[in-house]
Amino acid sequence: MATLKLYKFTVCAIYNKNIIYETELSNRNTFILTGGFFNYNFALHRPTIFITMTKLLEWLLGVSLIGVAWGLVTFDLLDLQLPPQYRELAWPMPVYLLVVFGCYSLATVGYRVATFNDCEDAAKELQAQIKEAKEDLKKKGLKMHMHVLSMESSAVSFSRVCICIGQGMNTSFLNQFFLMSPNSESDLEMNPLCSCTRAAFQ
Amino acid sequence: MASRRGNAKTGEQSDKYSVLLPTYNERENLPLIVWLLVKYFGESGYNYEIIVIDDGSPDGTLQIAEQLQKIYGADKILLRPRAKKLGLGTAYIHGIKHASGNFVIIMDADLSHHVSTLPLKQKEGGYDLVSGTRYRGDGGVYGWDLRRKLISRGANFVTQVLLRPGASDLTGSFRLYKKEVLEKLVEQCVSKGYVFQMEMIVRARQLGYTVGEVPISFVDRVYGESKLGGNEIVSFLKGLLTLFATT
Repeated sequence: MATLKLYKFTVCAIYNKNIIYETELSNRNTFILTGGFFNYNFALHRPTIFITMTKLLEWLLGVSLIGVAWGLVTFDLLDLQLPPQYRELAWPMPVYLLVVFGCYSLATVGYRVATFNDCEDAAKELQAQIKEAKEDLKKKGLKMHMHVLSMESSAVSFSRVCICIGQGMNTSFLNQFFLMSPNSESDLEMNPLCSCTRAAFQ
Repeated sequence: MASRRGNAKTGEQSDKYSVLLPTYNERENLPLIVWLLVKYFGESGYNYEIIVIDDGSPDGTLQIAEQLQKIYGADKILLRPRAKKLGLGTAYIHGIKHASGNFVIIMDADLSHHVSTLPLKQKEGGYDLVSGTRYRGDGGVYGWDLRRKLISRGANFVTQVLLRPGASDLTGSFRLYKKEVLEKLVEQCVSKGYVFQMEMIVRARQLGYTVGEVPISFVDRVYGESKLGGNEIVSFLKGLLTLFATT
């Protein structure tokens, strides 16, 4: 029969990257840890399990504490024989708190939306600065418009190329292109070949 | 100049601000933002440098950046491009390696603010991290309709309740960090996208860094901006819940 090995391990509780509590356990204690995120750390000289306190865990802890307190008072689990007013007050408390929180949220968000500043001045100032910047940079020799296929004009260029390719097809197909491509009405004349030639020398 | 010894001014002059500008298809915006930065830093007298980290933009952002470098000098504008779009976190790491300042300013290339407010606030309180906020003081927005304001404030409220981060605006990307603080935070953060920005502040709080705030006016220069659709809201909530459960 195999003998049960005794494993000793340390459990650390971490809050904001500081170890706030440390305890040594052995597998002889059937200790069940629930929740949390476990990281098994082999760097220390003995096995250590870390529980990192996340916001989620804080919330779960807080909610469970409140829940236990509420359960104790409402269902009289410790047989404290509290006066009935306490029980009547405690019983609907969770719902009250939720409603109060809901109202507070609505009021806060509503107030904040109403007082959200609109910066007209900043926008005007920015427009003036953009103009000033463009003139100044032009003076200093910045060339903004180069023969590069930029994102905005790619759609129009593509449609022109399409029509060149569609040169040998029947007219109904070409008509489809005329209708589909943007700005094509003004750019193209009746003869698609002319537009292809123009596009080649753009 | 030589007789200025043991003067309080020398402490100020040794502060250098590196501005990291990760860009992707910002051909129109980059010259404007660089011009504004040069203007405001010039006026305030701070020592600065601008690092443009272009992720292989197909629209020629790098060429524009090179022209700007010729205009303003290679000591003020540094180009550190990368081959392809690799993400914000790695852009910051890349930028920090080449930054010679002791403070790092992060901003989107499509926002514009009075950039000198950040160093001012930092000096006021000796903060490790200064963030721009739209929700406090006289910070605000321009051209937002009611729906967008409601969603923004609602999401911010949920974030405050769940994460209690100690900062009023988590998703903003106009920030100033001390260089070593930024290094430490970037290696700790695991998220991507704007959740990354949120995680930076939450982790900064966790590690005990001080966070200051300055009000900013958020004026979108990009016309036809993206509408706040259902997809964005869902991904925001997913990111928020991930942070809630892991930090």
